[in-house]
Amino acid sequence: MNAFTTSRKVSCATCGSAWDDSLPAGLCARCLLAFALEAEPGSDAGSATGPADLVDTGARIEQIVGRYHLLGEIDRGGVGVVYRAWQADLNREVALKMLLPGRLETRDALDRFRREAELMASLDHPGILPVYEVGAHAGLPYFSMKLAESGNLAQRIPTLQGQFRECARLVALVARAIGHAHGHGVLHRDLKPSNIVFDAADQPLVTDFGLARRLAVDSSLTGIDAVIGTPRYVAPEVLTTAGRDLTAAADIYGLGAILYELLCGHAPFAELSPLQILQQIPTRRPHPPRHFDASIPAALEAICLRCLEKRPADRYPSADALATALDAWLAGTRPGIFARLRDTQLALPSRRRRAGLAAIMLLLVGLVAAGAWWVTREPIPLPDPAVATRTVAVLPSALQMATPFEREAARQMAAHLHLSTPLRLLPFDATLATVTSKQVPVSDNDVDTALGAFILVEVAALPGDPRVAVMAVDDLREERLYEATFALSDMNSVAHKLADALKQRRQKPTAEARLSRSALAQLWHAIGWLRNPGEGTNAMAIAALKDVITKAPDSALAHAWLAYAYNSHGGEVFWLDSAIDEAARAQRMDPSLGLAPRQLGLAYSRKYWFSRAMAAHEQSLALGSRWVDAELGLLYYITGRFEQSYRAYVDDQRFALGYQWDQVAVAGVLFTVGENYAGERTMRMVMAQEPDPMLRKLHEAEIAFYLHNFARCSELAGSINPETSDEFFIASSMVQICAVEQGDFAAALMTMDATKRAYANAHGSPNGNNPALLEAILLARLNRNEKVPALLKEARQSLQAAIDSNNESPAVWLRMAAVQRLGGEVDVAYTTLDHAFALGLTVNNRNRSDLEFLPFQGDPRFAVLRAKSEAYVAAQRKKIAVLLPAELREPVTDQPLAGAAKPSPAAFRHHEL
Amino acid sequence: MVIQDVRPRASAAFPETSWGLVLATRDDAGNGRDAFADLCRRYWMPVYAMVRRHGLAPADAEDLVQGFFLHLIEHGTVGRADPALGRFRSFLLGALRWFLANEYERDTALKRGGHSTFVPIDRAEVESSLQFNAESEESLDLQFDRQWARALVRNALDALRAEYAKSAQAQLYATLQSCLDPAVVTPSYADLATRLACNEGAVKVAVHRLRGRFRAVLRREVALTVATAQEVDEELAYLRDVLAASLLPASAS
Repeated sequence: MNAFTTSRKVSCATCGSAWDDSLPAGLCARCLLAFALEAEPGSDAGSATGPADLVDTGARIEQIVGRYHLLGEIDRGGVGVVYRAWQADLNREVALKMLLPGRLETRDALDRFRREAELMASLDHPGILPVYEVGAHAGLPYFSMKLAESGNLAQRIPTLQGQFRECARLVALVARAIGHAHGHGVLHRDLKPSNIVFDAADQPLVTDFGLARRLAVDSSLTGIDAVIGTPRYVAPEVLTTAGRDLTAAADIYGLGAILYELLCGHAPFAELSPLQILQQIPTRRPHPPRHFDASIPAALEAICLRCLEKRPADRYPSADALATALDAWLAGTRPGIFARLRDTQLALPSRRRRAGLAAIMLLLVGLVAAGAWWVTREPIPLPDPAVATRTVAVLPSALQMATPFEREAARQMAAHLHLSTPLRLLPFDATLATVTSKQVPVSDNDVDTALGAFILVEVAALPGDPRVAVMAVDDLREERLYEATFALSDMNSVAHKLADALKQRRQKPTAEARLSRSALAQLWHAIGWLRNPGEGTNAMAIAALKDVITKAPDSALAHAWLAYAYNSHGGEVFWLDSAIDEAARAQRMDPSLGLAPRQLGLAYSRKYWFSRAMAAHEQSLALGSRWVDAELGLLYYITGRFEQSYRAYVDDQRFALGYQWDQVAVAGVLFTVGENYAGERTMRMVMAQEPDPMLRKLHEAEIAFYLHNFARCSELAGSINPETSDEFFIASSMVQICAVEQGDFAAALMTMDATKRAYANAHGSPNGNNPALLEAILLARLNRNEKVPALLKEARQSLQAAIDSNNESPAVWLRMAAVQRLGGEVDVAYTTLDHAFALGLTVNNRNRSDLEFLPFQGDPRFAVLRAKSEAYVAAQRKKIAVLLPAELREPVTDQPLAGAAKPSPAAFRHHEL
Repeated sequence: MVIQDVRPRASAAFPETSWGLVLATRDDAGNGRDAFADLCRRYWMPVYAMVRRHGLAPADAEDLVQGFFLHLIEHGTVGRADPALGRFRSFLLGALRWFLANEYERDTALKRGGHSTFVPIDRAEVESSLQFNAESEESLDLQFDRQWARALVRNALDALRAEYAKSAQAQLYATLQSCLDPAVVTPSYADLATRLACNEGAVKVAVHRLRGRFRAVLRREVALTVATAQEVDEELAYLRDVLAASLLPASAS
């Protein structure tokens, strides 16, 4: 229709009320009502309003607007009308958008329309529909844009089905455009397929910035918006915050919803009514796209679901990061950043210990666990779970790093078992080929999946020991079936005993054997997603596990894996409590499940309930979990049990691939108790195998620190870049500590900002290491006291919250004691400090110059406590010393070290910095 | 062209029935149900607009409104809305609020609805007329009432047109419609007389009758939605004022 056959009026000329387009032309509803009431239409109604708020209500739209001849209406939305128009002077067709006449009620509405035009005009990007001109005609604002002639993305969805690469390409282009908008401080807020149009060259262009606003600028306009975008594409936080305080993450959600629709053919939550969406979007997760179409690539699904994460922080950090992930997928690689950022299972919570070894240990745990395998490995197809639960694989426990001796021992064990095992045994050569392949390396994290065997018989050689260790585990349940350390000559009898143990498993099948095939497959998928976060998200796993539990409420294994999923879900107390519930339930249902107490322990340690965490982990270790040693090692370390920590880390090396991070941890323990020679030797072994020059430099700095070469430590650590790397936080903390060691408190203070920034970069939150307290301590030391009370107040607040939650971290109590001591509450401070020592605080070789001790320096009471603690650490050192191989205790020279696992002298020189 | 007398055959006083009665006489055999459904259908628009203002897309809002009315027609009430009291407008608003606030089961709604759909008018047309005010902070209730007032007028106009059409006066109605509003006389009586091929006096009479008829139909329409005859004027005045409020800047309400 031609919109201009009749002229449009904004409001009734008689009474001034807003025009109703649905009534026949010339009729005003209000006047007619007044007429029926037999009252004269109120001619004074308009005077009730401030005339300043009214625009020219007599404006009529002609067929010529400015330089444009209107040719017809293209689209009509909630905000305005878009016309096709002819621009005579440039001889081109354009799109012209005008505010809907009926909306011209206030200046405010006008301002908003102009704002949209200005926002769009301020964005110059090939992926954003360009605005040509902004103007006004007879009081009506308008703007002209490029005419998108090839329709919009919503119209193309049917033809894009199955065109996964094209879908990814389009969304990547749109994401780049949105990234540009975000870079200019503009948030779109209403991304959906119909707002992506195509130009004549078929390039996608983002349009309709009608709901857009400037990030953190338009505070004057942030009323509650009645319109919040379109429910199926709207981020959950938009609903929960009524559109306030939105960030770029809201648009990333929109981009994810678009990708979802392109992949599945329908928007997320298509199965729900709009109202259900509004109610459930904050908690309910969309079906994974592969639920609808199994041919959708898992990696693409993972990218999509990450955009749709409920918590903004869990989505891609920027639209450009999303585009990069999509481009990487298109280029045939896996989205590295995705996998890397997600694995939280092995790393403890974000509030890591400030600086030093504990943090480095944790850091490396995180890095190695997440980083080792995602780079090159293709997704492993899932084997049949029903078969895998009854299949045994014999393998050398060190996998790719196995020595020929270990391989041979494993081969012999397999040969013996072949004759006697009642279960399905995988051919040894095939197993060996899989686990030692350099091209497609598997880690012990997913070796069972890769092999299609849940029962693993791991054979390990002990360093410096002619004997062999064997352990049979049900890897899914983390249940030890058999364990022995034996001389090779006893291989035959050990194999018989092992076969007997496996026979019991056959005679007494686990509860999982009773699961239906579909439930088992679901459980299996969920486990796959949890272990390989690139394959599927945590949320998908949680949904699948809940489904399994609905089908089989008595499946302890499903409950335990659900606890695992909750533990990996972000570390918030809510999830941890859920994990504790599920793990405790699983433990009650099946006390032989090692996974359950391990998850219980993980959740407890994340709540900083260390004593309970240790008890649970010890229980899990006794049942046969392969994964507890390193976690226990850390807990023991934090609570001052250095000998136990050392033993746990050394034990962990026996049946885990984790030589490297365990060795860093061992070095840490050794340095902490003052075994500096052994510490340095261990650390240099790590460095010889460390490919990353930045980490090598960090280790070198650490060695310098323990050897009291603070200037060198400071220099090395100070050269670590970039600021966004995880390592930068540790490095800048080291620089700070070195300054303190050298008595240069002013220099230490100067590093505060960098440390704070680094911590925020590494952990996503600025306050974990309580920078307020550290700053207060330094300022007090420098006699610059004016800011100290405020900083102490801030520090106390966050510490009090931790203490109120029964936090058992000695560091937290030490910090509180420091706050109290600095605030002059001396007696209270020492009571708190006593508690910190009771929880396992020590004054040791690593932490003795930590800033938190500074307020106590010079107190006789502290001297006593310190001496006592140092005596304890010395006793621990003695206990560890007797466990150390003699050659480790020698000072490091250029001479080569004995032992197969030791680096060559050439490697040493090469890595010397 | 001859202008016929189209004066009402029935009294324009308070109708023999009101919405409460329609609702009460609804039974499982379908008696009264159609009458009530018809009444609901006439106020589809304000309900739809209200749902749209909750942020639902057109198709989704349509589904929801469909479910709402089917539930209402079937059960006679929704939630705590009490059909025994008050005006149809308030009742519908209360029921809708309850419906929006509570779990809406699309599946059951579809089951209830069977294959019938409850979309009386062209949604596209409604959309274009929906003055969908994104930034307005005025209450949703007020917006609902405003839409209601417009729907009421539209319903009356529709009924009037139907009456004229029934007596073969559709053309006359179409020509004179723009004269319904006594404050506006466009085009002039002379123009109309030319168009209708009659004298100016006949036009004046016809317009006068049309206005009288419209007033009656409108009042009858209002009467159907209130409980007592006394409330008709109150309701008319209220709705008139509500429309006047649309003059106010958003912040003033």
